[in-house]
Amino acid sequence: MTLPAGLSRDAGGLPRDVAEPFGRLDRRGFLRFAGLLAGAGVLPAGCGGVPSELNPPGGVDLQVLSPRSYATFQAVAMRCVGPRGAEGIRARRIDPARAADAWVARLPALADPLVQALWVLEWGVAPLLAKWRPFTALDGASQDRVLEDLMRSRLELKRDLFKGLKSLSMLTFYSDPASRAEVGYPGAFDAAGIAAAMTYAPGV
Amino acid sequence: MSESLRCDAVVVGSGAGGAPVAAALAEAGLDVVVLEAGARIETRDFSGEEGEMIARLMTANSARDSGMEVYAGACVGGSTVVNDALCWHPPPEILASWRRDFGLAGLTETAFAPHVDRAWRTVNASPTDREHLNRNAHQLEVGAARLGWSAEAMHRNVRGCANLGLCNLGCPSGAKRSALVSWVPDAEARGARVVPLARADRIEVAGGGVRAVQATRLDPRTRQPVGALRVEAGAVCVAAGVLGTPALLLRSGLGAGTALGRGVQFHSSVYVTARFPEPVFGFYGPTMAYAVTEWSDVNGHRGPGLMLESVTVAPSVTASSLPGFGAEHERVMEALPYLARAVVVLRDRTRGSVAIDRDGAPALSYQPVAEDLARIREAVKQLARLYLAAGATEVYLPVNGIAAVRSEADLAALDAVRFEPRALSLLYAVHLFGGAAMSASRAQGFCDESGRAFDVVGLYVTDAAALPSNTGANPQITIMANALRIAAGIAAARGGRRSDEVSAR
Repeated sequence: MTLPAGLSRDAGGLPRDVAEPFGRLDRRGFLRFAGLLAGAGVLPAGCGGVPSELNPPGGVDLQVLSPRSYATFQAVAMRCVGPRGAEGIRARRIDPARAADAWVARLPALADPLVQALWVLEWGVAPLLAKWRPFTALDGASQDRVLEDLMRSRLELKRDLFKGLKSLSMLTFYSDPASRAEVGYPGAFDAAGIAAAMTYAPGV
Repeated sequence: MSESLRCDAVVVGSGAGGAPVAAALAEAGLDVVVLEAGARIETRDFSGEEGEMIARLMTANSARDSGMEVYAGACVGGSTVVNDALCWHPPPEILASWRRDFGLAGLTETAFAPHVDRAWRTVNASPTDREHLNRNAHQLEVGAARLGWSAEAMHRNVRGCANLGLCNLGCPSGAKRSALVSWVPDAEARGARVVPLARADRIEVAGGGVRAVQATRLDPRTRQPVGALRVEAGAVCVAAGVLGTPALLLRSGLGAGTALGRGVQFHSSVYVTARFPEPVFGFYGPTMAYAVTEWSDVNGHRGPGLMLESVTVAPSVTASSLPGFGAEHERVMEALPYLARAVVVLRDRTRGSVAIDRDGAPALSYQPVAEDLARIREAVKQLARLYLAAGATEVYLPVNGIAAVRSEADLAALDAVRFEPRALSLLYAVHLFGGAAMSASRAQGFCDESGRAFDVVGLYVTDAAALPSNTGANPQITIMANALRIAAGIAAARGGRRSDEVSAR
């Protein structure tokens, strides 16, 4: 079964838990609603200062994400993967936002929904999201409250926003060899690891 | 750029329902063209990298009402390239229900037997021996044994498995006998032409019979249209998947007065993860190998349609499926080598549907009935009990907001949760069935028991969309056997019994 890319807005070529939340967000007008709020002056305008640790490193040529959406993705990834993972991102050992940018560059169907989702997360305010300031300007605890609100929301589209960003964060973070090493996965072809996995006392 | 081809039979799709048909028809002397919307990615190109291979090999969709997620292979070989190599015979009870409930009197075990045998041999379905049961599978084995539950190592279609733990990423060792390395080369050796990156858009019908398939050639990098292809043939076998097959038929204006698009069923799935005191290294070894069959519909069991199967602990997919985020999620991930994981495979009672949206793309509707959700909840509990019995120190349920389970008493928290698809960290369809089903009745199906469309001469449905219900077990052998059975009928027709259906070149 293959989705015809030219006939569908769905994101062919992505794992199920990444593509669809973004797809549904786009289809169901959630983002258009957010755009309406922005147009009505409900959302804050302009760009506040983004912490330097979230900015793309010099020399990186982003293909899809803007510097702001890069920073937003980096911020949500840091909260999703946990404090030690966040330290790896902060230290630039792992760069999930850059990996996400490369992914969506290959998958145009996903690019706009991802950029829009990041825009909503960054600029959305109450009652849409549980905050009044840009996501990247919040401290960690406040960012967690925003994500918790999304995850537990009664609105399925808010849960979709969480699910999509979480899944893409996890995928891009744990696809990086540096992060995999930190959780004890030596990579796909480790002979010693394979031998260990297949060795045990067979009794039950 | 516009191209045209002529052949005896065109097969749309190269997975479990398409590639065997191509091989069988080519073997019977027909000139066969296979149209595959995905790219051709050979074994040497399977890197083993999760992020890269998921993006290159798979596609995703979801139900527009429940949000339930669906994924499939999107490459030559279809989902056989990204499945976990599990093989089950068609359950006799399921065949009996198809005869009883859908009037498919010819679908007997005897009728299926030669085709099952051929499929079994071609993909080298074979028992999983102790050397290929990893610790991840063993934890399931231990828990089931301690609880007295029926369980077994599953058959897998592999030859020379190197225990890489990459079955579902194409299998870089080439051990998995997917359609890419079995049926497709068999078909090509007999002259079939496989055209990758050719998306079937519409079936042309004239005078009550098929005339051609119109397709779009896709750019290998962007997947954007780069040309048109028209394949003229007297027989068209549709095997584009449970979303793609009904969508193609609906785009072609077919199926009026039939059940086309209706009756879709899933095997719904959720993951349960457990932490053990000793390393499990569940990311190595067969991605799936062992099953608890106690509540299944196989091997004489009488349901209620639950199979619990060991499944890989590869980092990205494990991280995505675990509930929650942040420090607690990281705490669990940092124990990755100590994690075991299993998947619930539920034989759903729910029926859904596939329509097309205004762009012609599949629009899936699937709202799980309460009974199915209740059985998923029960299956999650049973898996947690099993892992605790096996010695797990913590069990992680697929529900956001529920703490790690450390004892049977903790499972009571599950009863307080409103169990709905979106409360779960991940609920998806691991297998899909129906939508253009075989039936004796137009009100129940789209084609008869020979796979032939009710209203169009020369048009067949040969993939899982033709199956009238789910099967309760990993279905690739059932799909292949049914496809071969239908192909045998087409080949026989070419022998003179229905020569109107297959044109000479």
